Amino acid sequence: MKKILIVDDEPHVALVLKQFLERAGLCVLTALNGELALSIIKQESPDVIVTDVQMPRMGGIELCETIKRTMPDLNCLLILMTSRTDREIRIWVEKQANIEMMEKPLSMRRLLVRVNDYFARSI
Amino acid sequence: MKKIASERFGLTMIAATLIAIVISASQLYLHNSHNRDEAIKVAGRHNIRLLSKLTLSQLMPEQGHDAILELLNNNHNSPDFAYAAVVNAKNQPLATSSTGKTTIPEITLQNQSNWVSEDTIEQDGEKLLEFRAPILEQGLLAGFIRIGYFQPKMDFQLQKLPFFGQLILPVFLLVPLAYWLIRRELSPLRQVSDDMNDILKKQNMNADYNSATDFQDFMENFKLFMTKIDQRFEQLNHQSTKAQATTLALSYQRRRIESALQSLPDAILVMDETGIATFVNSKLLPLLGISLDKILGQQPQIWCESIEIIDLLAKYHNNNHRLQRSDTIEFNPVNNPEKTIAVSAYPLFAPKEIETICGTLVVFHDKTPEMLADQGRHEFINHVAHELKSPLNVIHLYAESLSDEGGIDPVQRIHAINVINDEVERLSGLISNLLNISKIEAGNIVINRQRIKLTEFLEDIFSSVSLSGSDNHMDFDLQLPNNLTNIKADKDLLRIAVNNLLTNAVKYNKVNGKVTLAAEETDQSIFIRVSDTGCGIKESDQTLIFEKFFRSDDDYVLQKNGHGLGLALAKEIVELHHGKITLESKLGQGSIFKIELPKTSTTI
Repeated sequence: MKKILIVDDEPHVALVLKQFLERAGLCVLTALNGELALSIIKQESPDVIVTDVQMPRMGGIELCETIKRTMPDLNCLLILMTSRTDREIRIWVEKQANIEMMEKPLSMRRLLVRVNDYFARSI
Repeated sequence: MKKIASERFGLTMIAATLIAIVISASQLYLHNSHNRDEAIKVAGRHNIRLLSKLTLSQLMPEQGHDAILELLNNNHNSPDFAYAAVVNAKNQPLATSSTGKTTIPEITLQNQSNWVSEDTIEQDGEKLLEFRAPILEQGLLAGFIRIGYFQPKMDFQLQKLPFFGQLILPVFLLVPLAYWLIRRELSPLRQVSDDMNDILKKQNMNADYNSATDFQDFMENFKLFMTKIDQRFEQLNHQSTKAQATTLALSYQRRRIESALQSLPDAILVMDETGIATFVNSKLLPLLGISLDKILGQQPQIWCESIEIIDLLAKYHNNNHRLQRSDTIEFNPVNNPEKTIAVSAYPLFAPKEIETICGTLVVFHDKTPEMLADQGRHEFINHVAHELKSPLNVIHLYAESLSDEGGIDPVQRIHAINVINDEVERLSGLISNLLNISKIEAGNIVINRQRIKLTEFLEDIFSSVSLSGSDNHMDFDLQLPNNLTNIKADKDLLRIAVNNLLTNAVKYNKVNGKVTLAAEETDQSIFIRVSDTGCGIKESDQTLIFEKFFRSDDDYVLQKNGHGLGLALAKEIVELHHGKITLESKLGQGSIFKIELPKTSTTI
């Protein structure tokens, strides 16, 4: 079963995503911030990580950079959920491999489509 | 002109001297003539008296012998002696003796006086003075003795010439000498007079004088000079007073301008056309950290450590091509790299020649506060956007979850609906908090002060909060003294402030924790205290906790919903009522928030 990690400081967001993705047959893990996420990633090696950008204690961008730096072998899709339509983040994301951006308010169906698409390609 | 005048003076002097000589000589001559006249009379009377004492026989001892007359003739010792004669009673000459210059005049002795007489006789155009006396012989008139003298004439006597010559010569010699001496003595005066004249001419005060002599020249000149000097002195005095007044006014104006420049919020540097600093205000020292003494009178290369500034200023002092417009750069000073300073240079044009640049004005503006404000605004907007989007995101996700075709179980559905409700409430609370904060900060909020029965007011808030917090098995304690003073305040705002403190006390409390609302009163203030037994606030956060959007990064705090505006709003409201809000807290032990409202501004 494919593992997906949801990282968001808003517990409701993590919860509703978890319920929805579990209904779609995925194994869903959640973390409240980047630091907690890192320890879960080390243990569980998720296939997809969906993370918020603005979080206390290590935001989404720092989490992505840390993963790339410390775990270069991790074969994983990173999806940044951001309310910021900042050019800077978009430019930063465009330069990164395996990192994508989805804007808030997030559509769970679109997320599921994207995740399934990724799994289909990676097989 | 002056030469002629001075020669005329000399000639006049000589003429005056000559006139004086002539007058003196004529006086002398008249005096002399008078003396001779008198001498003749004296000699004549004397002689006639002497002779009249003799008898005829004594006068003429022998017939035709006139020895006495001869004696008289030879020894008369007078140039005016004319004759002497003895005549008988019938006026027939008995003996005569004359100088030969004239004959003895024949006269008629009509008045045969017995005594001596004098007569003036005119003969051959000459006046003769005759003295006569009778001669007695044995008591009888025997004849007369007659002695004649020429009456002295007004003629020039050559023999007197040496006397006059001696008299006049020294005078003649003395006059030119005196004249020469006077001229020599006056020559310094003339020199001074000429000098004064030159000065007068130079001062454009040439006088229209026309005097005759050097001394007069001098005196006239001197008088004129003194008048002009006096006028000039007056004029200078006036000018000096005026100049002093002008200097004072200018110095006052200068001080005022300098004071204005000193008071400007920005640092000012004025340079002349060669780039030398002529004025610096005191604001430059804290900005650049360079002492003003090092800047004044120096070119930028000497004092400036920033190459950007030197390059900027060089454009205004380049002889070949001077920049005619203003230019601005930004730089970070060496002594204070986190500061950003905008340096603007403006060419100073000469007042009446628009083309000529006479210096440069350099303004150093510390942009750090503006940049921080910009940054703060940017962060605030980001924050608000994030805070607004987060609940929207949650609502959106749950709404999507509710509409899931696969269907969700009833428990999840109820949960979703509750979450949506909560988030809508949270969003609404956030928006009203934002609006309130924004109103207070913009100064637009009007405090609607009304009488508040403080005891009832606090009880009311307390009961509503304690009801909502009863789920967590918390202990609520209300400690209100009797007879608490009523206050005058904005009820709605104060309710928000107290409510925010109380809900925080519930939100961040432990399970089975305690929340206390208490009030105290002193002579000056009313205190409202909200204490909890919750997680507490770490010391580093205590100074930041009242700032907008601040949220501690403690796990316990992060688990709770919140947008970091409640305490900021409470603080703004209390300060609006001239009060203050303070915090005492220890991590893990709980917090006490205390609102102090001064009675002066809140009691009735």
